[in-house]
Amino acid sequence: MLKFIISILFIPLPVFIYTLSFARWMHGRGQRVGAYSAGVLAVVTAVFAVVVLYRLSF
Amino acid sequence: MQMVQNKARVGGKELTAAMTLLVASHTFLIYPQYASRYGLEASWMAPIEGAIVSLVLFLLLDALIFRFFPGQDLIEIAQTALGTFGGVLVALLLALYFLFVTASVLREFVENVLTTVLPSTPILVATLLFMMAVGYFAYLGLEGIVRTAFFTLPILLVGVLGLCLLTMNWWHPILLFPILGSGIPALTLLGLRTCSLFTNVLLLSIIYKHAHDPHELRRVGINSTLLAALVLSAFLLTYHMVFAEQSAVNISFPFYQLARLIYIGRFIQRMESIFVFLWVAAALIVMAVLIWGAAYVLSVGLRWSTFRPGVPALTLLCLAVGLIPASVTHAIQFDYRVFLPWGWTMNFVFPILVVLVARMRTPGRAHRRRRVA
Amino acid sequence: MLVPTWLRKLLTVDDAVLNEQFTLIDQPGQPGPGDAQSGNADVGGANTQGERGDAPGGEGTEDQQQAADRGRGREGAGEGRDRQQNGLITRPFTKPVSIREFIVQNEHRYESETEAHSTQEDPVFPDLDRSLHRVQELFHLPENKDIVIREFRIGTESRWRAFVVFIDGLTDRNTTNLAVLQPLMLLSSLPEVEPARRIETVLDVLLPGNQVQPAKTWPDVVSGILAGSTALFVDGSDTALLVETKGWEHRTVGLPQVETVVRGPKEAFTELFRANTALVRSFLRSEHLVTEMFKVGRLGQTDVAVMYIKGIANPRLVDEVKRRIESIEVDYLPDSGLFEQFIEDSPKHILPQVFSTERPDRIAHLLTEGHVAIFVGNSPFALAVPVVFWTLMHTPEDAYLRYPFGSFLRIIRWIALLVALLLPGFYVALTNYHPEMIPTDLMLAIAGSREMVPFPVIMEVLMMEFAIELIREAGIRIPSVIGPTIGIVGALIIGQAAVQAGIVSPLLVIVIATTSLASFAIPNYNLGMGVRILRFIFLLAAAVFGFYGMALMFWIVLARLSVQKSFGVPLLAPVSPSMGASRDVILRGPAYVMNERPTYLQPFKRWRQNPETRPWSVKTRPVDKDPSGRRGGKR
Repeated sequence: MLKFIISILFIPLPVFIYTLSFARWMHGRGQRVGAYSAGVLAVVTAVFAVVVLYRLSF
Repeated sequence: MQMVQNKARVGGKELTAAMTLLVASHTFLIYPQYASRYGLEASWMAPIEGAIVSLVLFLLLDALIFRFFPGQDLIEIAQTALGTFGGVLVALLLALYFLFVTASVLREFVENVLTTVLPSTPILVATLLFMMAVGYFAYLGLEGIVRTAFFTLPILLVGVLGLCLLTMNWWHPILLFPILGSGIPALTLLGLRTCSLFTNVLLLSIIYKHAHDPHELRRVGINSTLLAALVLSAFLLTYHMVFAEQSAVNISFPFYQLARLIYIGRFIQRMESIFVFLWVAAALIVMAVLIWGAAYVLSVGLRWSTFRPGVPALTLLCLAVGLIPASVTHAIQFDYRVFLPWGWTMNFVFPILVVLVARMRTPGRAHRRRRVA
Repeated sequence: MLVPTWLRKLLTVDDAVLNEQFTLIDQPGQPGPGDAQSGNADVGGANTQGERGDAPGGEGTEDQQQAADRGRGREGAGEGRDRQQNGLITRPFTKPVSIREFIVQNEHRYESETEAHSTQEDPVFPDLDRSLHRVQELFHLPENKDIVIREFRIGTESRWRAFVVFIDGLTDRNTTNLAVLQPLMLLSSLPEVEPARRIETVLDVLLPGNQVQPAKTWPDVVSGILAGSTALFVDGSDTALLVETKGWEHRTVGLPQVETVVRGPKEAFTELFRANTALVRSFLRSEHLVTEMFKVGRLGQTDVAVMYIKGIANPRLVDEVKRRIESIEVDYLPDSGLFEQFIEDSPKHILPQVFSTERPDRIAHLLTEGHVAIFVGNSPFALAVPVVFWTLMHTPEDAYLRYPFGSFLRIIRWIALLVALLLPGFYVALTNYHPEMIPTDLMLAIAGSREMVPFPVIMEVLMMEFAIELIREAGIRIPSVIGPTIGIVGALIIGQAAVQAGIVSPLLVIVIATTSLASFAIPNYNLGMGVRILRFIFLLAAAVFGFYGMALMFWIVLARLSVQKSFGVPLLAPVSPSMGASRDVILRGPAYVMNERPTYLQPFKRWRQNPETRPWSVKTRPVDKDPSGRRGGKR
């Protein structure tokens, strides 16, 4: 369990935050399509990463 | 640091190197086994046949683009003809394709590394390390990737040809007979499926605008296709001269097996670890180009301001997808069932289709454009 | 009873217990120095109690005392105004100013002063006394003892009042005496002219100095004096004359210390700005060689010269260099090493993006290729931009020897670079992860030599590397008197004792020794430093992941290098991105076929020599593919 949490903290979380901030940045520049797509990308990536890490950890 | 943004400018030679690597790197992956299984002794002909078919299709695509949509890449063509939605659709499809190819390359590559040089390392660690490097490459942009590729290509050529020659004392040319292997129908099919390897064409139709001279597209495409076919073919030829087909079809990592065989006197033997440098370099370039490609098509299709911030997420996604298969056998199944039999549709049919549909939707505009050009 | 003095001293209490050392920083929560002083004052041996109270810091000490004195001394010169306004002098026992406030107050004064010094519209006064006063104020006389002001009268009969100002030690005594003072005082008989035109007479007929420059504003005068000129003021003129009398002590042009060659010129730059530029000119006698001058620094100005060949160097490059130099905002720029950091593209990058050399012939050659050279003050290293990675691995000797030898040397050096970078990592990876690669006999030998060693390989390598780095560093810092010892000590410890004690294996000693030899073969010092650090990175990568880690690291470094630019030129050009170039990149080509300048510099003249450089020889005549085109290309 600990391994799982630590690996989540170190791998997908920073990427997730980074990509969300990318989405926010584009939102600020008025690029709605870009912002939404980047947000979706962030969520999809995070979900995939967490699932894979879960499978690897247990 | 000088940031390489969307408007990277690269030379034709470097682009050729990167595109050659993109295809030739399949030497290290599952393709030799696949080709051996379906082509038997004649599998070395498959890359050549595939290259010829690819070249014909590529020239067709090239002619279509230059005739109807000069100076536009595939996404832009989709956007002008099919609207934003069409652009998004095409970009998503392309990005997904690139991602899946990258993920499969990643998994096979890492499994190879783990079985050969790092047997006790957890797969997550090795993959993560590798993907961090790939992400960094892709983040540096096309310029960094292709310039590094230009250094890598000579090493790859020397490495593969060196491997072919260093196993000279194991060659048995008699093993190449019967010369037609599994027979002409099977070979033809294999040759067509080999077209799936030539992702360089698809990528070129997207990035040729970045070349110093966009008209080099044709030359880059032809050179890289031929060179890569030559490498693949030379390797398969050697492989089949060394291993009889019964064993050849069952070796999961032919390149490694061949490297292990090297024995030229006491001192030049067991060189496989040296080839790690080669694999790593080639795999890095290939995956970086593909991830960059995915990020780039997304940035154009979805109108991102820059491709760069998308790279980490795409890299991680790729890593996750690559680790989904439970074992290497499952991972290889993707190549056997999906990529190799059907990849050519994405490589050739899809772009040609996009261009043709776009042409049909915008007859007037395209004609005007042509006259202006 | 006879008590020794030192013992008695140890057992007696006297005023010395109150003695405190000077601290520049005041302690927080310190009571006002006003009351703290009274105790301290007796001890310090201060002159006046009142003065002590003025001192703003917690510990009234001699330095602050002097500061206060200075403040008073300058009252006449209008310097002590701030202090007076704060009531520091008139009211001795007020609330003290903390040192922070004191600094803030004086910072403003410093800024306004430097501002005043650098204002362009600040003309020289016609009134000689005012000028004299201004000079004293500007140079902080009378505290400043380096400045010499000599008042005299010009001419034997008409006796115009005048004075010269110069800095003792910066000027040549003989020149000042014989070429400035003597002709003015003894040898001149003057027509009487109106006061405002006197200076013209002096300039035209009286001063035999070979470089005399009229200066109309104070900043010009000040920078002239600081640069070693003698300034002459004549009563009634609104212009000062700067006579070139530079002549400070400096090292003469000597042998190169870092970039030595066997064959080739043996001159190196020295700590004299003008001598350096002249050295280059003596190698490259061209009227198209242009030297542009800049001054960098607000507090102390440093001359910066930009040298290029007009008509060859790309003006956009020259403009970019000038733009970067002009935007430097520093107080003081002591050396080209610091200057580098202000102008290079990515100062954080581990490899240099500016080429530095101490050889004038090298600079001359780079200039002819279309580079831009930069000289910074009295630094004995000149810079050239842009630089490509390959240049860092060249030595001038490659060119001075015949080309096969040059190529041979370069091959050696390229191998040395790889060895210096990768060998320790390679050894660690090999022994830890890939022992099957080693032939059995060799593996047995390695295992045998490691049998006694109690450490893991990486530990062993790190220890040895550290020892070698220590020898390198100590070898440079050690006083030259005991220099030879270090070699013996180092060699004994590392070569003999460590092996015999079973701390390291003999094979590793060979590995490390080869590595450090190889790292000395890298000709550029900056590159050598970068390689030294990268070596440890590769070592760690190898220790953790074997060849896999090393390979990843190698390609990452290469990729980073390939996107790095130096003044707009990719660092790995002309190889990648590949650009047409003569064969002077990785190997050395014959001098008679390297006819084109490097294209990455975008020089104006592509051809540097006729394609047919040996017309008398049939063998070496170039194969003309397109005779008209080749000839036409010689634009």
